[in-house]
This record gives sequence, structure tokens and C-alpha cells, in this order.
Amino acid sequence: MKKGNYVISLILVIIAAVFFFLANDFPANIIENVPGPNFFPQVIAIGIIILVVIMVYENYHSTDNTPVLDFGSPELHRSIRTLIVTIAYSTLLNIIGFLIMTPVCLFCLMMIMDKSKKTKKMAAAIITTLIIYVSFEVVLSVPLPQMIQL
Amino acid sequence: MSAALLQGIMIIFQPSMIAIIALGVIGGMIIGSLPGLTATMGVALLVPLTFGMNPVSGLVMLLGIYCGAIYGGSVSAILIRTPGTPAAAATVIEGYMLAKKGLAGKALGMSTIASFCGGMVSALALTFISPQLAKVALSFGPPEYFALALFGLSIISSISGDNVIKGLIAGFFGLLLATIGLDPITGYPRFTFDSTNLLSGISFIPVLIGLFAVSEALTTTENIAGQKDIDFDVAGALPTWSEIKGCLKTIIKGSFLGTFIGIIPGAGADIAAFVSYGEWKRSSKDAAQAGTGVLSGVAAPESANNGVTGGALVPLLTLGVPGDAVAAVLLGALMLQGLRPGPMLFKDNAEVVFALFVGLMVANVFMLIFGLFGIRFFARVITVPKQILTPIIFILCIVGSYAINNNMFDVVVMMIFGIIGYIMQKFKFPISPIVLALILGPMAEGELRRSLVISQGSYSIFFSRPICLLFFALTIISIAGSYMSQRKKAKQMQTENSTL
Repeated sequence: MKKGNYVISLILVIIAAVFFFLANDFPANIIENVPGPNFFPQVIAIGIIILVVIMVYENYHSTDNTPVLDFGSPELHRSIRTLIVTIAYSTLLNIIGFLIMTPVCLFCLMMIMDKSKKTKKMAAAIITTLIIYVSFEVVLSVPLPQMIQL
Repeated sequence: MSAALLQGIMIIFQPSMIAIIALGVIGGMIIGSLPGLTATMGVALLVPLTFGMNPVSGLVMLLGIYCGAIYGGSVSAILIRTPGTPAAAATVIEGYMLAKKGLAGKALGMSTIASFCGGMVSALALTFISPQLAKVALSFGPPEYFALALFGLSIISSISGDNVIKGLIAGFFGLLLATIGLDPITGYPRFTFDSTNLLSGISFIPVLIGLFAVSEALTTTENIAGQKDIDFDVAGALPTWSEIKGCLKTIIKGSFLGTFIGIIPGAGADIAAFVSYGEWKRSSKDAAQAGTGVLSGVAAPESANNGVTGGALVPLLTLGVPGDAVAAVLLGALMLQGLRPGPMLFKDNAEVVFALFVGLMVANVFMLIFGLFGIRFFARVITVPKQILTPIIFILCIVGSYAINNNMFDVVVMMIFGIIGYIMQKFKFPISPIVLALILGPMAEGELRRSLVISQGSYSIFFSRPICLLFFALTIISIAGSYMSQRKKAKQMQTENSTL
């Protein structure tokens, strides 16, 4: 936790600094004495940096050395695999279309979670796809991505 | 008011509307019953389903889901000792012991009746308190709204859990994100990097879906291996009339307590349930048997957590300040339907507001009917394997985010915030402050600068108005209160550690 908190602190300071400096280029307000578009982002960025300093101080005195992310653990690998499949699905959804991509993605995700009962999972993937399709497209008239016409 | 209420009744009592509410309650009960699916996640996940509906239909459906989910949490709490939602954590104590004695039917029945009473009391309170509060809020100008937003933001300290600093960092991060898009006063594009998708700021619903649903699903994925099949038994009859009469005092007390706690921004259904259970233990004659399975010990938390449902809508609808995370999601849904919560909502869309009130009451009636007569069926959903459920959640998150604007950019935003939420959970950063800040940030900035335009740059405008001063005082009390309670907790832990 301790190391992780330092990494998070660094990321937050970088984000705050980027916002602060980008806000420098914003134009001033036409009305005198009234803050311009840069005021709020810069105040918040400074606030983040102050809070991060307090967190780092607290973290320095903390005794919690348990690792938060164990990169070798199968649990984390499962989450990462899930994330990769989900991102691939999001990317291909607009190209291949909902009706083909969804059962494939659902089945892959179910297999990542547990490899047993393949037929049951395949059936669940197809039925779920049809239920979502009917709910959005047919009942609620909310369009879902279709396959690109070549 | 009476004309608008009548209009609201006429809108709701149509077959299609009744069916939508019933569907929402069933959906909510299923979501709530499933451990790991919170009411917030359920409402966020199903907001996209309401796009194609008219505002009243969509919103009453979400209210049905909200009520049903808060109640549904008690089902798994009683049957398998796992609260379906955090709001049902206090129900586990007595509920599970009753189930172990073979009295699960009585516990579930009492939970249903208490939840119904809590929900109805809060819906009635909402109907009668909100219009009066909205009338007061009509006189608010930019300085009052700035002070209100500041008070709303001060709640971050009380919803930050054990680490206020991390909560405040999450809140400030949310405020920073809220500055993305067109400047509210000059219209200058800020941090948009020439992307038209960012001109109107970061879309709220994809952020909510990412933070509450994707991050939770990723955490579930991590812990999914080795989960065994769940076995339970809904044994025993429903509570008798004399048993209900014996719990009536507890139910009434819990209902009012829950409603009151719901109205206070920052205190959610979980807090209400524990406060009510604590009050039951303090004042009940059955308290000596606490922890052994006492029926009134189920009634206390269940009446209070459903009491919050209407209470949390009071500040949301009248002032535009969400009381808790679910209210924040509902605010997003309202804005998506083109409705801006606040006093003007009562003036411009009175019939919609009153239809929501009536809809909430009808949802509670359905909750009672489904709970009493269908609980054996609903309890079966607990057995749905997470290995099948979690992938479906991922797909719903993607499809739901896409459906908002038929735009893949929203899906990207959702995924990014899903990963951010997952990392935040890992590093024990609370998620709710980001959402609160995203809502209240633009309000605070816009009203602050509008006030200064009025006063030509003089900050004295904030100190010459009594309502502003009242909100400033409440802000100080809110921050000081949460700081003191955290100190008390830390001291308690120190004492416990030293005695061990």
C-alpha cells in the first residue's frame, strides 16, 4: 500500500500540474476583479497538490506495507484478461455489429471466469444477447451497433 | 399543489405506467438480492434502458429499481448471511439467526412489511416537504446557490469512509474533471484538446457506469474463482398479525428515522439502517436477546433503509443536491431526460414531480405485494452463478454507454473510469466524492463567478445574505463533524488495539 500510494501521489501531482499550466493560457475575464476561466481549475490543482502532500506525509508514517497489486497473481491476470476482451469488444462492436460480437464476447468472458459447463455458457451467451437486443432495439427503439456495410 | 398531485395520480394510474413501475420493482428486487450488485450499480446500469421512454416512465422505473434494490438486499442478508446491498448489512445480525432457526419466512415477511412502511412514510414526507422547501429555494440567487454547492461539497468529508484525505483528493479530482468543457461564464473551451466530444464536458452517465458498475465487476472477476453453489431454504410461514403488531412501534420509529437521515445529504441507507438498529437495541425490551434472532431487530434496519429512498429525493428534487450516490445517479437520469432538478422543476414541471411522488408510493405497494407473495421465487436469483452474471454486467455497461448518444466516445469514457474506479478501490479511495464533485463543481464555479459579476468582484456579497451564512455554518459543522467522528474512531481503534 505504501509504495502504491507514492505512485498514485506522483500521478496526481503530474495531472494537477498539467491542468495548472494549461489553464495559464486561458484568457482573463473581461470584467475587472471577476475570476476568469483559469481561476477554478488552478485553485483545484493547487488544492490537489496540498492534499497529496498531506497524504504523502501520512503515508510516510504508515506501517501498512501490504502490496495492493500483486502482478503475479492469477486473480489480477483474470481481471486484466477480462479487461482486454472487453476493450476488444468495444473496439470491434461498431465494425462487426452487436448481434455477432456480443455472444462471442460473453462466451469468452464466461470462459475466463470459469472453464466448466461450456454448452450451458454458450446457451446463456446467446439468450442474453437476444434479450438485450429485443429490450433495446425492439421494445425501447434504442439503436445498437450494426455490422459495417462494405 | 392539489391540482398537480391530481395530475400526477392521473399520469401514474395508466396501465403502461403501472406495468413499468412493477417491472422496475422486480428488476430492483433481483439486483438487490444478488450480493455484489448495489442499488447504485443497478440504477446506473439500467439508466440507458430509460432513454427511449418519456421522462416520467423512465424516472418511475428507476425509482422502482431503487426501492426494490434497497429491499432486495435483505433477501440474501437473511438467507445466506451476505447483504445484497450495503444497506442490508444491519439486517444480517437478526435476520440470519432467524433463518437458522427455520424462521426465514417470518424474517423475510417482516423485512417486506417494514420496508413497505419505511418507503411509504418517506414517499409521503417527500410529497409534503419538498414543495415547501422548493418554495423557499425559489428565492435563491447565485450567492445562495454557491453557498449551497459548497455545503453539498462539504459532504465529501462525511462520505469518505475511514480516510478523509483520500476522500478529499477524490473530490478535488472530480472538481478538476468538472472543469473540462466550455467555461460556464465566457464559453471558452477548457482542456478539450480540440475534441468536439469534450465541449459539453465529460458525459456523466458513462462516468457513473464506469465508476460504479465496471470497477465493481472487475473486483468481482478477481475474486470469482472457487465460488461454490449457494444453498438456502425459505422455511417457515409469514409473520402473524400479533407479531406485526409487536413490531409496529419499531417500524414507525425506523421509518421516520430513515426518512430524516435520508434528507440529510451524505448519510445513506446503510447509515440509516445501523442507526435504527442501534436505537432498537437501546430502547427495545427485546434488546436483551439481540443477536439471537429477534423479529423486531429485522424491522428496525429494514424500515429505516427504505425510509431513506424518499428522504434522499428531497434535497435532490428541491435543491439539485444529491443526498447519496443513488440520488446522484438519479440526478444524471433526470438531466438526461431534459429535467434540471431544483426549485424551478416544481414550477415548470409540477405534474412530472408529483407523478414521481405517486410513482414512488405505487412502487412501494408493488414491493409489498411481490415481497409477500413472490419472495420464494425472487430468492432463487441468489443461485445465479457470478461466472455468468458478471460478463453480462460488462456487456450491459458497454451497450448502455453506447446507447446514450450512439457514440463510441462514451464507451471509451466509461472504460477509462471503470479502470480508474478499480484502481481507486484497490488503493482505498472512496468513489462517491468524484460523482458528487462532478455534479456540484460546475454549480459552485458558475454561481461563484456569477455572484462576483453581480457584486463587481466584491466577496462581501456572500456575507450579507442570511441564507448564505446559514449554508456556510452548515458547511463548517459538516466538515468539523466528520473530522471529529474520524478522530473518535481512530481513538477507539487505538484503545481496542492497546487492550488486545
